Amino acid sequence: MTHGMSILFDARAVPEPEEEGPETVWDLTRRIRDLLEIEFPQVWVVGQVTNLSRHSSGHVFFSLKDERASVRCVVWRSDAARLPRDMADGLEVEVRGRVSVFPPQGTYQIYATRVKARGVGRLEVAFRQLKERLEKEGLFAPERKRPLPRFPRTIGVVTSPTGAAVRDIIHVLARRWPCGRILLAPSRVQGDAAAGEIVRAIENLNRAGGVDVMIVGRGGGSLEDLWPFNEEAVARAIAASAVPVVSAVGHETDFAISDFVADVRAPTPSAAAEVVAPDARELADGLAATRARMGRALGHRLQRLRAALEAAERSRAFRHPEDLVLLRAQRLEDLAGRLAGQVRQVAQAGRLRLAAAASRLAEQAPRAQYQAAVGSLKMAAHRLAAAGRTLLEHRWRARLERTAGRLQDLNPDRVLARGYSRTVLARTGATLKRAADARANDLLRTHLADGDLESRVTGEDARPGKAGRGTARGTGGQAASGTRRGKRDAAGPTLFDA
Amino acid sequence: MARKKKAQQAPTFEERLGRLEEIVEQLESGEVGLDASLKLYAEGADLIKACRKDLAVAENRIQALTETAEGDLETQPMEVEDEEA
Repeated sequence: MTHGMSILFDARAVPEPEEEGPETVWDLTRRIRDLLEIEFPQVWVVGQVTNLSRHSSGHVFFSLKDERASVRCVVWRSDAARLPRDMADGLEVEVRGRVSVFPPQGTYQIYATRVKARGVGRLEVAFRQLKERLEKEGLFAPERKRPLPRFPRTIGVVTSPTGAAVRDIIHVLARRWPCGRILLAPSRVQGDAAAGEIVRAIENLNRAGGVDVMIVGRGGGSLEDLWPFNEEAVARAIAASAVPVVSAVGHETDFAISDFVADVRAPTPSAAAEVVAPDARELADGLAATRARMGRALGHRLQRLRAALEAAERSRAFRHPEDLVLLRAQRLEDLAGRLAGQVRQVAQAGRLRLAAAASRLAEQAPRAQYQAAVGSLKMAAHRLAAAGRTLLEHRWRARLERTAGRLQDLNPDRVLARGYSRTVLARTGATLKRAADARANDLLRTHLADGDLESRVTGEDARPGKAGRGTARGTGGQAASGTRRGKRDAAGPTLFDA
Repeated sequence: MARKKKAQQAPTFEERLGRLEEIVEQLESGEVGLDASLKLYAEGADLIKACRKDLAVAENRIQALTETAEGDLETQPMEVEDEEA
């Protein structure tokens, strides 16, 4: 789309300059500026980027050109973040903005608010492909990222020895962590050779030993400028580093592949220095506070102990220590007395029990029992004896009488009294029991109760039924024996020998 | 042939701070005896002194790490030109 340059003012319509004199350059410039601003409030232009430069202020300058013309473009810092990543000379872009004049140089330029790349730049494609591949390999995994040491003694830096990055890093470290040693492994940070040098620098810092952490980075630039930090070799060197790596490449919004692989990404080299080192002043303050804490803790402790000591000193025990002894002596006495009393009681009770037991025991003693038994028996025997005597006497006497009576009955004299007589054969002298024993003319003597008779056997048997012999009836007499076995003692039987 | 190792390497700043934390905790807990408390306090004071000393360095030591032609590493003190910011 081309605008025809519409001329609002017919040059001829412009009033002739005043007679007072020529206008100032400023006045002229202002008029031109006003003209352009009114006429070109919004433009949309396509062209190729050339002479791209990023000012330290953050503003970006480039020229937009085609085959026949070019126009200067300015992108304010605030809009620079939204520039295409692969913003580089040769990139074809569309620019939106307004036109104005830069008075100091008398140039007109586009103040671009939006710059859009047409299609994707070659570099952008390469970036995306590599990122995808390395991510798949797991090089960006959060688990791989190591924590940074809290108090690094040696901080390695991989960057250009002359760029702004190294100065920024050193300034921040000087302010925050002056006790740290900075070991710079210098390297180019753009161009074809840069990637190789960066890799070597990282390896050397690992080889040197004693490096606690390293910063790898550079200041801002185009995608092309930053490209070494998107190289696969650099990514792998960072991944392989035993020393933790902080990647600080370009501006805040630039992301390089090294940023993804590193343990920490910092938006700028200065930020990297802040991340890597603690604030020594804060630490010193902390130490002062710690000292105060220790002092307080100890002070409190001593205070408490002192108070306890004073309390002890003031206590009765200290002022009248003898009281302690007295008190205890008293208590001892009391207890001793009670003990004695108890002992006596116990002893007494014991004695009583003992006596009781002894007497019970005595009662139970076998000899005593024996004696007692003997006694009882004796008594029983006596009683028995007495009883026995009486009983026995009665029975015996009765029996005796009876026996005596029977004996009496058997007394031949009593028999004689009853009419019986005893005949004795004179010839033999024996009592005649059988008639057959007497012969005729035998002399017989017969004893009767009141005297004797002499007779002679006639020889005739006077027994009824029998002829012959004598009729004297024999007296079968068995003398009742009046003797009995057993002694009869006048004292009565004794069972025991006393 | 084995070279006797030098007396144990000095504790790092981090180790000192760690021990200091322990000491403060013990002192504040009040469970440590008086003698031990005094000893701990003394140890803590020494540690604080040592840490302060470490922090008190005024300037970073800046060195450049370069490689010789043979591939050996060497460090050299380095001055960084101060450009106007």
